[in-house]
Amino acid sequence: MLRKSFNYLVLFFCISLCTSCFEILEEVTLKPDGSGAVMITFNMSKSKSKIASLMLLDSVNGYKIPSEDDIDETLKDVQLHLEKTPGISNIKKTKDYKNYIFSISCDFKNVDNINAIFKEIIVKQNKKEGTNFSTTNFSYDKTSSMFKRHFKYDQVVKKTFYNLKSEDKKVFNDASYTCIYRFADKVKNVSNKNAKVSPNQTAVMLRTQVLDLILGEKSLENNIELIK
Amino acid sequence: MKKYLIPLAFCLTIAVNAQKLIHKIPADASVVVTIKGDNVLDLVSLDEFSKSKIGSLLTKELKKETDEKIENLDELGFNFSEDFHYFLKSETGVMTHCFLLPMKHEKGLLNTIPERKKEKIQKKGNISYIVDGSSGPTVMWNNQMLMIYMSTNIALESEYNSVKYDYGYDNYNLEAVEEAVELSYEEQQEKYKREEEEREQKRLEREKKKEEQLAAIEAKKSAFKDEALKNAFSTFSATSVTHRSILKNPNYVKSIGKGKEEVSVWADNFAKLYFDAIGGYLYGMTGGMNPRDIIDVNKLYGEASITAKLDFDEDNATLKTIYTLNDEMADIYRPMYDGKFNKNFFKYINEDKLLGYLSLNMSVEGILNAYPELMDNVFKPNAKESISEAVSLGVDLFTTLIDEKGAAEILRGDMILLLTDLVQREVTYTDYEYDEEYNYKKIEKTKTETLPDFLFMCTSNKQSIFNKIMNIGVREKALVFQNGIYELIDKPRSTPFSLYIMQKDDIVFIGSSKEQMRAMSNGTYVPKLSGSLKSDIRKNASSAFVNGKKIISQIPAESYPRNLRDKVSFLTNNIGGMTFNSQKMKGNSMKSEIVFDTQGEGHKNSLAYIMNIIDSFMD
Repeated sequence: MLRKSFNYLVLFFCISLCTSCFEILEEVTLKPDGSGAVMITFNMSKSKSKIASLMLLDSVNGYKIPSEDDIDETLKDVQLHLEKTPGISNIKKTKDYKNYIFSISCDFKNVDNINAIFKEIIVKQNKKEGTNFSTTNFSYDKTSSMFKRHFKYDQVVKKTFYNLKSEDKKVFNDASYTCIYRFADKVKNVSNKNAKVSPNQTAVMLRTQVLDLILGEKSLENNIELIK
Repeated sequence: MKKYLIPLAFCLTIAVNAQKLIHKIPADASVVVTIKGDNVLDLVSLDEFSKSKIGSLLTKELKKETDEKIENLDELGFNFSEDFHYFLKSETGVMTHCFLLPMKHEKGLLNTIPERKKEKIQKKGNISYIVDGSSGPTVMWNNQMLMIYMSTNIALESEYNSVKYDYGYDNYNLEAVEEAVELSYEEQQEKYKREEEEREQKRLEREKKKEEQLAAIEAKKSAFKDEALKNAFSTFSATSVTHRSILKNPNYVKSIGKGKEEVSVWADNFAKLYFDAIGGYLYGMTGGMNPRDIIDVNKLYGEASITAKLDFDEDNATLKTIYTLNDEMADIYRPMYDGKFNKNFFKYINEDKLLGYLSLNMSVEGILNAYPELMDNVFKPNAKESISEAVSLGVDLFTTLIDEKGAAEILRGDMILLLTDLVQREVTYTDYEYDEEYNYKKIEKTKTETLPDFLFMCTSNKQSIFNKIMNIGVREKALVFQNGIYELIDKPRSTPFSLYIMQKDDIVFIGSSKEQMRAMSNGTYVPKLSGSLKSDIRKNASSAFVNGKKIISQIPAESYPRNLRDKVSFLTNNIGGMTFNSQKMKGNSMKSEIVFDTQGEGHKNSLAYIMNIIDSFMD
């Protein structure tokens, strides 16, 4: 009983006082033939004190806190899923429990292979929650040299967010989502006004707050036209 | 003259008690909750409440809901200066919840009832009532009181559901299928048709039987509904003369007494409540294991009761609870709480720096001695399940293997956790630095976080065991030893604080501040503790204290969520401390008390304080 009280008392202060924020990094490197590499990084380093404290508990606010083993299992599942996805190869995963940074990367034969990775999850989500998310997140038209990052907003996200307890909402306060796309050809034009093109015109970066995406105030949608 | 005095006094008593709704609560009620209107109004008047933000919001909603027929809370017609009650009565399989609310007139109430619902109002004498649906509550009122009465026959509802959702799936007859293989196709077809007809016949018979059973249960439910309405009238009309009220229940009268609290809660005989609410039939029907067959609920909770009183006074809000056990359980529990407190703990506590503490004063020897007896009592002997034999075996092994006195030498049972400081510490994190081409490299940044400093102390007389464990830790490179203090280095990754361990004065210390541990080790630590806190920690089985004001003032404003930052000064001026004390067992009772210090600027009493705090957060 005292051990639990001890944990809870100390953790209460750590959890209350330490900040919580995270960063998601989405990187795609595209070759002219439509093949390339994708990497997703989840960086929770800025919240590591809080996460370390949370991970000492089984659950908080009714949510189960995953253990290191749970996270390892999930990463393994993701890897297995990627191995089964056609056109996907060179799968690599990194995990850093000291800083709580996790990433997974792979090569793809064509952009549709990336969509196939998430298709099953999105279809399930749409069926379960009645959402209408698109199963196509990326597309590349070689003839027009147009790379598209699709993003379909669904009001359900906002509704779900507003239904969260205020404590849970705070998790998204300082969270950011960064997309970086690299090309062999130069970028002619980008449709998203928040996206920046690098001076050598071969890379595009779009940085948004996760909260803006949840509330539908900003979008990841971006049509990137390349110079043929 | 004298002969008229007694009838006169009797009539006066009835007249005075006419408004006292407590007489309507039956003597065999299991739970009684009372809000003393007069005491509450003494603290915050209806007018003051109406002017508060929450009161204004309530009035606004009320006006909206009643198409402005009700302009303020007073027009609702409740007699706020009288006592409001709730009671729960449990009989086998039947639970009755009842709210009793004093009224000045029924006009306000009628204004809250929508026109379409007014058609449902029925009258019996001067009593008006609405029966809401087949299983909804009965709402009954006159000019003196409003009663909401909900009676549920759990047994009947359960029986109804089990019949209604019994689809009577027949088991697949494997033998018949094997036999059918030997038959010709035509014969098989003929047999299948015959079986189909038989099945259909059985289904029809089952459906008919089911309809009959459901009709019989519906009839019972209807009779129960009539009975419940009759009971509702009986409760509504009850007086101290016609009914044996809860005031005739000696347990209730003794527990509640004549306190000046604003709210009281009393619950009696948990075992009865458990048996009435969760009847054995519920488990029998589902085919599951019935905990009643294994656990002796009667021994555990028989005659157990709890009383809680919430009292608001000028500077404090206090919640007092008394938990009373039956003789047998009390005899088992008493030695567990009979701990000795190590006075040496006080040498390492400085009240000026103290943000909070949690102490426990139990007897490990008492717990280990009582545990086998408790297990033996909890699990029924000769129960249907073999679990009781398994438990009994486990208990025997436990008793044989454990040396209670020896174990108590290692951990006596008295311990305290202190929150000694909130410190700013620099922590590193990984961020990304992008070049012009959006290639990035990981860089280490630092930020400041507020982290707690804590100290845990427990009594252990076995220095040799402590040394052996520490030596193993050092050899396994989990610990490093320096100047009489061990530092834990093999701790969970990213643990935001350091951990230091040492033993002195028969105390094992685990703390997060190296400076504090060093001072304690050198004997340079300066203790300071008031007599009242010493007494709280030493005399109680468990005690806790949180210095809210100090904690808030030590947290940097930027650590608060943005929406709270402008409230920090208000919170520092208004949030006081919280003290919790749970006494050692006296007789069969365990008393505990939580006191919230509500001293602040501009609050006339603790209830007004709570209202003002709510108001400030509604801005």
